[in-house]
Amino acid sequence: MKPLLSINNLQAEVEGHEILKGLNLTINPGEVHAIMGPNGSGKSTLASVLAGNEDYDVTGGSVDFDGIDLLDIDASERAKEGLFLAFQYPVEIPGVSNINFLRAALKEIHEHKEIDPLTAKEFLAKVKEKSALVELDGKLTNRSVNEGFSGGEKKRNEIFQMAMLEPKMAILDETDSGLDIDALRIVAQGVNAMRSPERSFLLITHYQRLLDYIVPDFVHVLYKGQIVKSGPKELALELEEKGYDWIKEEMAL
Amino acid sequence: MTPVQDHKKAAFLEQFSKDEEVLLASLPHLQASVKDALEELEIPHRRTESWKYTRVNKIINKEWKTGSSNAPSSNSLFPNWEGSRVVLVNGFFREDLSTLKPEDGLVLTSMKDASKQHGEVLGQHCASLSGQKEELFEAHNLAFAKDGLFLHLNKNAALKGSILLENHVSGQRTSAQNRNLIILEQGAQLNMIVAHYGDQEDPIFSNDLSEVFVGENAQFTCDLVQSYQGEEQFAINTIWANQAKNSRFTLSTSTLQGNWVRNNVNVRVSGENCETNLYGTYQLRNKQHVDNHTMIDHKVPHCESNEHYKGILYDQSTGVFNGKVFVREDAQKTNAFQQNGNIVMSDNASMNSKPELEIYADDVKCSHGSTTGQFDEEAVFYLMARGISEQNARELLVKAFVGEVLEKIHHPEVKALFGEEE
Repeated sequence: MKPLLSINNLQAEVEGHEILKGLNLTINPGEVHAIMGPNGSGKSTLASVLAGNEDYDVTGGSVDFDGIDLLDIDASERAKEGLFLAFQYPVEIPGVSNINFLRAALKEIHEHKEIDPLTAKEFLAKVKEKSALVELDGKLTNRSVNEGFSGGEKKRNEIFQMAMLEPKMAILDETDSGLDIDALRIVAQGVNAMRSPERSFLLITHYQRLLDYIVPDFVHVLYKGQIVKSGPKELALELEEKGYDWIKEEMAL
Repeated sequence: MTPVQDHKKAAFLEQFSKDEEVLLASLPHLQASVKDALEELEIPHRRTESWKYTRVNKIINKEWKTGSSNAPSSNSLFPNWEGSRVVLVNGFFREDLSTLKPEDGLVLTSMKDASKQHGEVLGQHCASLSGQKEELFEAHNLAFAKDGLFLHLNKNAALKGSILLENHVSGQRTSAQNRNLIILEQGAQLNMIVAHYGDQEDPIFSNDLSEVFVGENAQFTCDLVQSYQGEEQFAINTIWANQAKNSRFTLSTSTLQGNWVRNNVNVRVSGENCETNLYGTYQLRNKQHVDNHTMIDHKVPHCESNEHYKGILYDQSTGVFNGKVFVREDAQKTNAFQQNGNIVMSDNASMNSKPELEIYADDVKCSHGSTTGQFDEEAVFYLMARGISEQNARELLVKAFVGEVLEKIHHPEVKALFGEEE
């Protein structure tokens, strides 16, 4: 099978600090990968670099996404190619309504793919269907993007947007952080409903708890900017039980 | 004043004094005080507080000649306007270019005519609000204005549609100083669009002044639009308003283009239970400079004022906002809200924002705020990460930022100038 995403020896820094130090990862279509790791290991940097945040400088390596050199195109083009990032801290944008912004995004994505735009009716039907998936109140979809949303509502809004845009690959950056069990269940339900043989997920998380709800195919441990251990879903349980010191010790050997 | 400044001022004023037929000729009771003011008032300079960030040298040191009323008037921003249209060219009322729809209770004519036919009303009101004793340019306007719009709405008159007033200034080194008088009697209602055009690329100096009397229970709503296209164009736009009780005054000022624009909006709230709304927006590019000075004077209790100005500064543009709100000792239960927000898009652009509240009453609700910041790059990235191109993301955010003020604009025809969908 042709991989959907292959990251090869990726190196990146922010403000002169090297964060990613030669990271390798391959994700095939339909797979769910989880990346875990202690604070400061580079998890969120990886998400930002893949999504095209220009605060980070890529200093080496390559990323191939479905045959495209990902590092060669900007954030908007990456999204148009089917990459989605659910933000750890969704940004509040006063004055821009959730609906109008998604309409604008979908319009550009459809133009890029050279497919017919949705009619107003089709669009609204889709909004209704996808917001129900994450139990997002209709009022919230009409409000300014994330403005005045609770933490849980912001995360559900991220999943709602993902469902609207139907990416090939979604990166969820600590989507579980700060969520209570109910919100976590709703978010996971949204993600699971979107799993398909073509669509892949990269879950970035600090806690094993999320993986009870979204069961991954592979778990990787990121430590000091490199993937130091990979395994089946059981690896997450082992990490939860033993903590990261065990990895650190193993690394030192 | 130094002898140099004295000389400069004399030379500047000299250019205008040759003109005949000024409105002041029919206002003998004002002549002495205007003469004194022109002699005594200084040219505003760096240490003049109200002109601290706006230099007038380029106006004072240049030569100007009075424009012709026959000068061409360029394209309108409102070509499809179907209501009454009043056209002033270089400050002169042009009946032939105007389309006036007669309405009950409306007197609409030139100031020149009004000084003959409505001399008493004009004499009572003209220059009774304005600050010709304090401001050189206001004295200059009163001394040399020859014409303008006279609009009088009788008791309870409500017009069917809005009135569009278009001001064209054109011709090389042309100066225009018109003076408008708008009087709304008790219960009258008036909606206006006032557009200012600096036609073509001519160097011009426009010093425009309007006095607006909003009678008891009357409502005045005006959207002001400024489009001065030329580089060497200087415009001073002054509005003085007085509100009697239970009245409403709403003004929006949209500066679409302007290399040197000074707006003065002064509202005296003289009656109880009034509402005053001032909105403004500016998006400045290149070396444009726009200065919005506002003053709301709450003299009596139970009134409310809302003021919201928002702007975006690109390139090497500069902006000024100075909002003064007085809440006098008797003005208990006043609600006064003021906000000025700016985004500075370039390292070379700058904004000077100064909210000023003077509160002498103790049972009031007043707030003011001023924010000047850079573009929210995180928001740009967020939008891009959803597939929106960088340019569209920035446009969306600019629209969202000024949108709060744009939605307060009364006329859809004016909103449409910003590409807003109706």
